[in-house]
Amino acid sequence: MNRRDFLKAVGAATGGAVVAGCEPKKGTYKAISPLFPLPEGRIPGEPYYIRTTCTECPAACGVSVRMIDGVPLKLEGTPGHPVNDGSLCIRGQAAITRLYNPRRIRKPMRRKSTGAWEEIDWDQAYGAIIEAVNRARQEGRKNLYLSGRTAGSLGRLIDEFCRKAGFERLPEYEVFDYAALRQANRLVFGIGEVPFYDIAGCDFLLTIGADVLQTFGSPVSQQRQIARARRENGLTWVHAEPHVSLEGLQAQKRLVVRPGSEPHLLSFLLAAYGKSIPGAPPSGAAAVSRATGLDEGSLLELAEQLRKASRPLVIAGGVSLAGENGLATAVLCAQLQAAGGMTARLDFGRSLDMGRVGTLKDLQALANRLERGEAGVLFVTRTDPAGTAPDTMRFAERMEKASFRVALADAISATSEKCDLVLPLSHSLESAGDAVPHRGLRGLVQPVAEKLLHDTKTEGDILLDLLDEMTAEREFRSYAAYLKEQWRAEFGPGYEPQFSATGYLVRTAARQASPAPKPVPAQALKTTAMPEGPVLALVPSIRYYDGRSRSLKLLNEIPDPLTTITYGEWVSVAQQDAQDLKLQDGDELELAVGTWTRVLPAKIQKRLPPGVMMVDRGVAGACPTRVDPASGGEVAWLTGVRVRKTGGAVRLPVMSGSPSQHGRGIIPDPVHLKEGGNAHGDGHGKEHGEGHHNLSLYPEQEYRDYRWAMAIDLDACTACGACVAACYVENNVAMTGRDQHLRGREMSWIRIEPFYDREDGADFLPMLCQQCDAAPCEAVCPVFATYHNPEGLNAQIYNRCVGTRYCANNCPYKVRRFNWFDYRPRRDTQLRQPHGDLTDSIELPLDRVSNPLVSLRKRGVMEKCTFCVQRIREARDRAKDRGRKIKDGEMVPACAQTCPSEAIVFGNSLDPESRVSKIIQQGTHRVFEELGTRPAVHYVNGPIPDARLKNSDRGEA
Amino acid sequence: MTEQAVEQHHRLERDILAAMSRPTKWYWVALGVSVAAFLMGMALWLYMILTGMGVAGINNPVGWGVFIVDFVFWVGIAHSGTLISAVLFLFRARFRNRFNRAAEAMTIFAVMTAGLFPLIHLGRVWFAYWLFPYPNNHLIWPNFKSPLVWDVFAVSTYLTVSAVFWYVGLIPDLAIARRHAKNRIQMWAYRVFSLGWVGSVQQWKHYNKLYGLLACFATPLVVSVHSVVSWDFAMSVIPGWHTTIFAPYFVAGAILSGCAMVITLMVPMRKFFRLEEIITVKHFEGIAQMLLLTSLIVTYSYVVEYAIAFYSGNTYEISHFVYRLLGADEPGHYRYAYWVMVACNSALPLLLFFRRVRTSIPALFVLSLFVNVGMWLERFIIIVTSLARDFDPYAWGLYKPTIIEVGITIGSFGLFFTLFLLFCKALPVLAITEIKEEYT
Amino acid sequence: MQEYRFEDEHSYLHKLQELVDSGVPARRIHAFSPIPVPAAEQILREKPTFVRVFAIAGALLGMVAGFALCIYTVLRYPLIVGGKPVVSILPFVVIAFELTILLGSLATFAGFLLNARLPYIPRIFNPDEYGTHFTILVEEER
Repeated sequence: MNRRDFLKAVGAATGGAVVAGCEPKKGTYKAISPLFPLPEGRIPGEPYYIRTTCTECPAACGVSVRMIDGVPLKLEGTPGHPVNDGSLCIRGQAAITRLYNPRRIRKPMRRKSTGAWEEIDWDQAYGAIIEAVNRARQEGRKNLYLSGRTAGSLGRLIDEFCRKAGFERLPEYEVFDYAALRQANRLVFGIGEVPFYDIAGCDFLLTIGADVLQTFGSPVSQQRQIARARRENGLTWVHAEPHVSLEGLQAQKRLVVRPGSEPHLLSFLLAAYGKSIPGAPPSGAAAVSRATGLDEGSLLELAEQLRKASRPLVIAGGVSLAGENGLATAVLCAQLQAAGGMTARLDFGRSLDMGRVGTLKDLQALANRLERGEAGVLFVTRTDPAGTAPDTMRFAERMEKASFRVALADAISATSEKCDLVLPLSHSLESAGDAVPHRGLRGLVQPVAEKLLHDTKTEGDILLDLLDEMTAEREFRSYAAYLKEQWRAEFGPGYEPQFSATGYLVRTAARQASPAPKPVPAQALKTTAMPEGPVLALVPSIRYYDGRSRSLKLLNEIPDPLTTITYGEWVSVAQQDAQDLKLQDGDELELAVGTWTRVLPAKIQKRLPPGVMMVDRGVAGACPTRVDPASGGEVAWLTGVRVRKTGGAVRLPVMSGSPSQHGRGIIPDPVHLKEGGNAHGDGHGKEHGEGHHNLSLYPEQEYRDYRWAMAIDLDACTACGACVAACYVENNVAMTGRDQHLRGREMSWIRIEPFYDREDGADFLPMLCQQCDAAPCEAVCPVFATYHNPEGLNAQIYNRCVGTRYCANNCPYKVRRFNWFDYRPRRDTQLRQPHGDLTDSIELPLDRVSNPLVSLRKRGVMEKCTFCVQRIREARDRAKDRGRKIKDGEMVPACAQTCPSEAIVFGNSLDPESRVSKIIQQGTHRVFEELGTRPAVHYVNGPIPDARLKNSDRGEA
Repeated sequence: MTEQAVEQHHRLERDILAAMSRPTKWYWVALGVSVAAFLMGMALWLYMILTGMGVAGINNPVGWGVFIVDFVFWVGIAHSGTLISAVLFLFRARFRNRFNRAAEAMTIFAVMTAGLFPLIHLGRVWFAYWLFPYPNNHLIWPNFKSPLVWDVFAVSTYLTVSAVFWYVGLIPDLAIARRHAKNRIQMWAYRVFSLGWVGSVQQWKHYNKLYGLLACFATPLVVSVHSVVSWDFAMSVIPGWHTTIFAPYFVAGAILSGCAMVITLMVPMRKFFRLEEIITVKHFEGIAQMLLLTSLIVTYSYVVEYAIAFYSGNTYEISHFVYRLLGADEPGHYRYAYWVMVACNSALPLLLFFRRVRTSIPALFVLSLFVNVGMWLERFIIIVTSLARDFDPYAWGLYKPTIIEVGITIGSFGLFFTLFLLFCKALPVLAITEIKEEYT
Repeated sequence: MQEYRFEDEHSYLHKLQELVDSGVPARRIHAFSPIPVPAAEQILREKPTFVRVFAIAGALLGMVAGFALCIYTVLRYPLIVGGKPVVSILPFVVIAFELTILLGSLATFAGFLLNARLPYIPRIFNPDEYGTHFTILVEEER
């Protein structure tokens, strides 16, 4: 016991004595008042929702912020929103942790002569800028304004600022700039944009490299559409890819093509429509088969399916457009869309607004200008060119040639490192603004959180302030005022009520059908074969997008869907290559391209074609990517990679204990019973259990009103992990950090288990507490800390738990989690560091992301999923007030609420009319049923009836 | 009764009580080491309480590790004591008189040590009292369906009954000791604890009945305690735990480890206290035979475990036992532990079929050490490997003990030996009266 | 008060027999031995001990108490665990068994102390020691 503990003990003892000594007088209690006055008729402590828009990626989904007493608790999709209708992706769910991200900048910072940062206040910052601007003007240098993708009113304000303050606004810089796609659409359809893909309307979908579930276009919308199309039009989804991705493993059929051979595939398909494009690669089946590595049979079958389909759609994107042949692929895809009559399902009227987004070529131009020393004051906002541009561009060092560099950012990045001044930007939950999910749709961004910790401003306010300082005229009190002005001008005076109620405004643009295709210049079609030798693909990441989300702890805590690695970096290597290199998971590989080298631990990735390696784009950072001369976009395929085993090795936090089911039939599919039974018996587990599970010595438990149950559609589930993120935020699940993960101490209440048992592909199983009727965990608890509640929930009473861990041992599903330490300390206390580095599990102020309706768990107690019992309670109270029972779908757990493909159905299995009991009646599969645990979570392998699940859990019913 | 028989009685008293004479240098060294080890263990435990269970190596899925292994190990050690004194008493096995006193002492100290571990492994030890049935303001009682609560009852009962049995056996000897007391403190202590025993005909009459009855109570208790401990595992659903042979299997194992520990303790004790002509090789042979018998039973159980697993045709069982035997490709699995265990518990004891080994004290001593190691490993394998690989392959994991767990284990040995050393100096290490009876 | 001391059991028993035969009533004879001598009991025609009654009573009490405790407490706060009925006798048997043993042996010990009149305070303060001798005390006729 060290000094501090001793003092604590003494303090506690005396304090206790004092408290015990004095009893409170009547009427001395005070009600704690909310942060700011509540709207009329709002009861303190009751959750309510505020509409805003997610700003994590260009998709700009509608968000309802779940609030209690003016504190934002959780982000949920806005029901009925045209983009995401109630759902959010994994990054959207994690967005609230960005608000309390420990790496956020709290005050304006200036670079001292010593090179260290010093915190200054805003006026000093403005002073410095103005001074620099004037100096630059005298020196006759150009002031430049580089920003990330900007949509909506802010763009207009930036223009205004640049005009008045004499800045030149540069094309915006995004890593995922869709350069090839936009270029192709410009060439073929005359519209250089990313259209809205009407997947919901099609019955056959061929995606070529497009990561439609992860980052491409509007992922949540696309995921919802795919799920709907599967249910309603029996969609067939084929995914062709040169690597392995979630899409490939989720599609009904996965075609592995050689990197860069996509044009051949497309020209083959065009030929199937009797179209031959001059300059396109040969379309003969044999030739194409040779080029792509697909056997002719599957080629012909694909062509057949495509032609048979009444409403087909082909989408090319992602890594397939990020290669040397990206433009050719995109162009041919556009041609195919035209030839196959798919243009009806491309809506350019609702295209993704990439209006001012430039390409890497433009960034190159900027780099050259910087090199020439033309630049005076350089503004870089919401983007990190230094950290992502090709290393050959040497952007970071060239930046320093600008006389004064200002970064507007929320955290220090490679770019802001190189700046003289960093201005902290407010989080979108602290800002007023608007967003444009797609043309004709305006999303509302409104502040919901007080700036408790940070002295930050929105970009709009900063620009207005600067204008005010420079040109003494001030039109607008604040950016909010400016916005209101803009909106009134655009949508007419009566816009407010609808805007604030729904969080979006639609300006009905006439559906813009894509015009007839134009002939394409041949050079746009020239293809080059990818050179021999190993290639390294920089792939978009569902967790990190282009890397902007890497600093979010929650997204590191949740496993990568394919490898189940949580923290850290790795390079995925094909099994074949691993054998050749004699690699184990975690062995370090040195990857070298030209002068660039990078040492990364290897992870053997099943289903990855030999010769191809994968690294998250966000992890790769600034590396030898190249500017594609054809499209101006980024070539994210590193060729001629020299691979060397360093001999070193690190332990990767891989959450999965085994990639195979070992024939245990966890996921129902006859294939698995035959397969993977290496020395572990073959599927006897299932047969053995047949018929046994209903035998019981004891009578069934009687339930009165409710028996909560869940059905999960494994076909619809895409393993996107949104449910996991939602669960973390909703239930105050602790983030334990890398060190603990290496010790096998993750805390996730719901996880997604990948099993690579099929010949080609994988199966994913969301695993959460199964709320068994005959729960093995309950009977063994010596103190009744866990028991079966009258509504069938396997309740866990944290305060009663003494921590024997017997329940966790005895749980066949291993879904119980033990608090090995105080992972969530009381504010501003520090956790002891007994072993390794635990501090990363408690970075403050991350602990502010906490739901007051769910108790925080202390060290030494067991915790687990209880179907979001707090939400059930909430719904029951609401129902009680209205004198009725809880309606079906009125309440759903956080996981079901956010699921973009609505794979999770939750309800009362006592009510024969509820969707869940309808599904159960159809016959379902329950995991390890042969153990007689009688789980309440049912898995179905097929479409769920009466398609749409109404997530009306909004506290407003 | 002959003259030299009378002489014998005097010699017995002299020799046995001589063990209680002024301690030697080596005694102090031994005691010092034991106490130090114990204190270190306690310090580590305190550190763990203040920091969190996380300082141990346990994780998901392996929620139980060395602490529970130690618990089962010590409870096992605790078995031979009561077995030797009670069961062999009922069977009138004469050689038990040479061992019962020390063995019972060993039992009691081992149970005390074992009793610590359920507390040590609790996530919130400060609420440990919730496991006991007492009227409380929560209006809630323990869950009597939980094997852990059975444990609480079984172990505390075992401790109480063994202590009573031990004390009853001591009463006449305390009466003897009070005659030989060297100072007032000793004298008064022995006087009080011998309750004024004089050995009248009436006292002996009740005494004999009492001793017999206690033996009758203790015998089923011995069997029950380790059965209950085994049910901690057998009552679960985990492959490798959930099997019906556990009760007899564990009891046999317990006796095996117990006998081994008796030998481990008695051989040096006999040497240091010069009890060679009281405890002869003949007596050790008796224990050795029990060792051999129980070792054979344990070996049989090992085989039966596999037989059951494969006969059941249950995927989980089969794959688990294959894993136990062969481990997996990745490093850090437990197959070597398994083979060492088989060597120690099944192979080596077979040597006892040779009379030369049975009657060689050094051989027995070495063998007993191996068996102790083997039995510890057995518990480790049963507990850890079963948890490491159960139903859901995604949740498979590995467990590696940390220095904290090792330290606390060493501490438990410290506690045990401290108590035993104190016993050697405070009480007659052999049952004088009962041995006297043989010389008539 | 006469005192006879013997080195060995035989002469001790012989003397006892002799005394009894010579018509000395058993209540006036006090015999002490360092080791149990069952034969002496027959000579003095000792009544059988009651200790076993305590044993049975204690054991039965323990068993009843065991079941009572389990059933009473689960009924006081009925919680369903593992889909088992609130009152499930099977697991309670273990508790009942342990309490049977516990109370049984404690009662037996208590019975011994009562019957053998221990602890006997006066003797604790000045114990009359007979060492390794077999001793017979015969009270004078009064």
